Amino acid sequence: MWQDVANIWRKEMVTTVRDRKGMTQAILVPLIIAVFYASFTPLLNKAMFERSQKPLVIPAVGVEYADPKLLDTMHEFGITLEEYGGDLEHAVERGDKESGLVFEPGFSENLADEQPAQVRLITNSTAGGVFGGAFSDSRLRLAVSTFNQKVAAERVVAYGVDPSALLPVVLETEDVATPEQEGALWASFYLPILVAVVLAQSGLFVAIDVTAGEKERGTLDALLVTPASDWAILLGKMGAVFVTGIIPLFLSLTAFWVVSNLMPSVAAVEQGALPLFVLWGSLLIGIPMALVMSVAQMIASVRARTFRDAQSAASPLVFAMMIPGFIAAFAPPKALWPCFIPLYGPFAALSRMTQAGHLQWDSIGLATLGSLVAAAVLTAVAARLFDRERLLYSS
Amino acid sequence: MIEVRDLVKHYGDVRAVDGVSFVCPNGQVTGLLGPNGAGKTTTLRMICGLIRPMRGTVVVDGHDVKKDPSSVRRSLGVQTDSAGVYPRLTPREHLRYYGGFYGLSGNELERRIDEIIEILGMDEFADRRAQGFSRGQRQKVILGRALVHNPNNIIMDEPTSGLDVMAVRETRSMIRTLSDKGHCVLFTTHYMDEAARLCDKIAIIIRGRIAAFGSPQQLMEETGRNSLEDAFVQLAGGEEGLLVSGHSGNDGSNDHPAAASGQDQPERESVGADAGMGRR
Repeated sequence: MWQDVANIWRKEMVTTVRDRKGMTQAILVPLIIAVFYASFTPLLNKAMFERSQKPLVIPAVGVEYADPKLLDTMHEFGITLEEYGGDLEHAVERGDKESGLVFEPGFSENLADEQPAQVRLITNSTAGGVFGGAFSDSRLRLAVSTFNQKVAAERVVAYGVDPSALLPVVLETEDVATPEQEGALWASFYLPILVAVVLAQSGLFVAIDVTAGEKERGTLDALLVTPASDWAILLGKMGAVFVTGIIPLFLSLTAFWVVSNLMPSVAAVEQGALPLFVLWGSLLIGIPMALVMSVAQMIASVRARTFRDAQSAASPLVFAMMIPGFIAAFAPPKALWPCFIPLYGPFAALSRMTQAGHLQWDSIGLATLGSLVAAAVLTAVAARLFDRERLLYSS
Repeated sequence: MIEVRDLVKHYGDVRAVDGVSFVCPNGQVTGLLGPNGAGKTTTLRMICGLIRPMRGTVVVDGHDVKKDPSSVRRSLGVQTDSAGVYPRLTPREHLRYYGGFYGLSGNELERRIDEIIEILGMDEFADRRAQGFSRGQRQKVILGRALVHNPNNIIMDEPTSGLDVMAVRETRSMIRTLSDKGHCVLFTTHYMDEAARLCDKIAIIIRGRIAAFGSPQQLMEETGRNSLEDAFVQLAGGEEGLLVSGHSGNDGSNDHPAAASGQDQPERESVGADAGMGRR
C-alpha cells in the first residue's frame, strides 16, 4: 500500500510543482502577507514618531493677544504659531489646515488677573489623513496642559503653598517585560492571523486539483481501476496537500521573522528583536494544524464535480480557520486547556507563547494533541468519502 | 478470462443491471452492445470492482471481484470512456505512474514503457506534456496506461469514439492483435460494423438484461436478419423498444447514475442515431 501512496504523492507533487501559476500564487501570496504583517507595526510606529517630532506650524488668529510664556511653551513642543489672515474656521473645515487657534482680545490680561483665559481650538480630525489633525490636536493639548501646570505652580508658590500639593498622586511606572516579551509583543497579535490566513489558502488549490480536478479532467476513473486501495489514494493525495500546505507556512513564518528583525533598525521606535522561538513555536503548532486543514480541504472538495464547485464548497473553511485565529489574536486565553480545542487551540498556544516570551511545551503538546485528534476524525470521514463507488457517483 | 455471473445492480426502483451473465474467454474479442442507459457501463464498472454488485459476481482469471477486488484490478487493463489525461505529465510519465500501481519499477518498467510507446506509435510525443494533445494522442495515452502492465484481460469502453479514420483503424488493429496474442478483450461500442468486424462473441444488453449472446453470425441467423444492426434492433424490441431503453431505465425513469451521467453516449453519431433511435 505504501508504494502506491508514494506513487500517488510523487505524481501529485510533480503536477503541482509544474503548475507555475498555482505555485506562484501559493508561495507569493503568503510571503507578501507575512512581509506586510511584519512591517506594518514598525512602519506605523516610525510614521507616528516622525510626525510627533516634526515642527508644527499652527495658523492662529490674534497671536498678538497670546501670552509670551504660552508661546515659549509651545516652542518647547515644536509648535510655532503663525498669524492667519483669512477665514480660519472655513480653511480648517475644508481641510486646507489641520487645526488652528483663535485668541480673543484680553487673553493676557485675564491670565494675569488669574481669570480663565480662553483660547479656541478649531480642529478637523480628518484633515491631513491618519497622521494629520488628530496629531496636531494632541500636541497642542499637551503644550497647553504643560503651560497650565507651570502657571498653576507659580500661583500656588506665590500664595506660599508647596507646588507638590498640585500632585496628590505620583504614578511611578516600572515595565518588567523581558526583551523577549517586548520583541514578541506584536507577533502575539499578528502571528495567529498570519498562520490562519496562510493555512486557509495555501493547500487549497492542490486539494481541489487532486479531487475535483481529477473529475473535471476525466482522469478519476482511470485511477480507480488501478489496484491502489481507497486508503492509498486518500493518503497519497492528502500527503501532497499537506506538503504544499506547510511549505508556504514555513516560508511565510521565516519571512515574518526576518522582516520583523530587520524592521527595528529602520524604525525610530525600538520594538525589540523578535525571538527565534516564535518561529519554531509557530512551526511546531502549524504543522499538525496543516494536517487538519489538508483533510478538511479534501473533504470539502471531493464531492464537487468541477474546480469552481470545489472552490465554492471549500471557501467556508477559510473562515473556519481565520475566525479562531482572530479570536486568539484579540482575546488571548490565560488558561492552558483551550489549547486543546481543535482549530482554536493552536492559535491560543501561539498567543500564550508569544506573550510569555518563551516556548511552552505544555501549550504546544496540548495543541498538537487536539489537532491530531481532529485530523484523525476528519481522516475517518474522508475515508468514507473516498470509497470508490461514492467517488464515482459524486462525479 | 472474465466470467460474469448473474450480476444485479439496482438504484432505487431502477434496475440498471438485472441478472447479467456472460463469459469472455482468452484469445477472443467480446463485444458488449446496447443502447444508451442499457447497463453497459454499470456492468463494466462492476467487472472492474468500482461498483459493488447487489447480487452475482465477476471472476477474472480465477479472482472473485467481491472477495479480492485488488487482484481482479491487477488482472485487468481498463481503457475508460473518458479521454482525460494529466496535462502536466508526458505520456512516458503517465505510463510510469500507472505502471507503478502494478508493481513495475526500475528497468523492467522503463523497458515496458519503451515497448508501449513503440507499439502505439507515440515516439514523437512521448516526452511532451499532454497539454493540448489531440483526441487521438490522448486516446493512445489512455490505451497505453491500460496496457502498461501487460494485463491478460483488457476492457475498453468505446475505444474508437471520437477518433479520426486513421486512429480508428489503428485501434481496431490493436484490438485484433491483442486477441491474437491470447488476451481476453471485452469492449463496448455503438458502431455495429465495428462489432461485426472485430467481435468473436457479442453480448447484447437491453434494459439491464442480456437479450442475446453469440457470434455476429449466430445473432443474424437467430433473428433472420442480414446485418448485425438489424439483428440488434430486432433483439432490442424494434425501433420503438430502443427508443424506450435509450431514453429511460427499466421503469421508464431516467435517473439512475449511468443514464443520468450520459456515460453511454457516444461523441459522434451512433448507429442508434443512424437507425433513427432517439437520443437525449
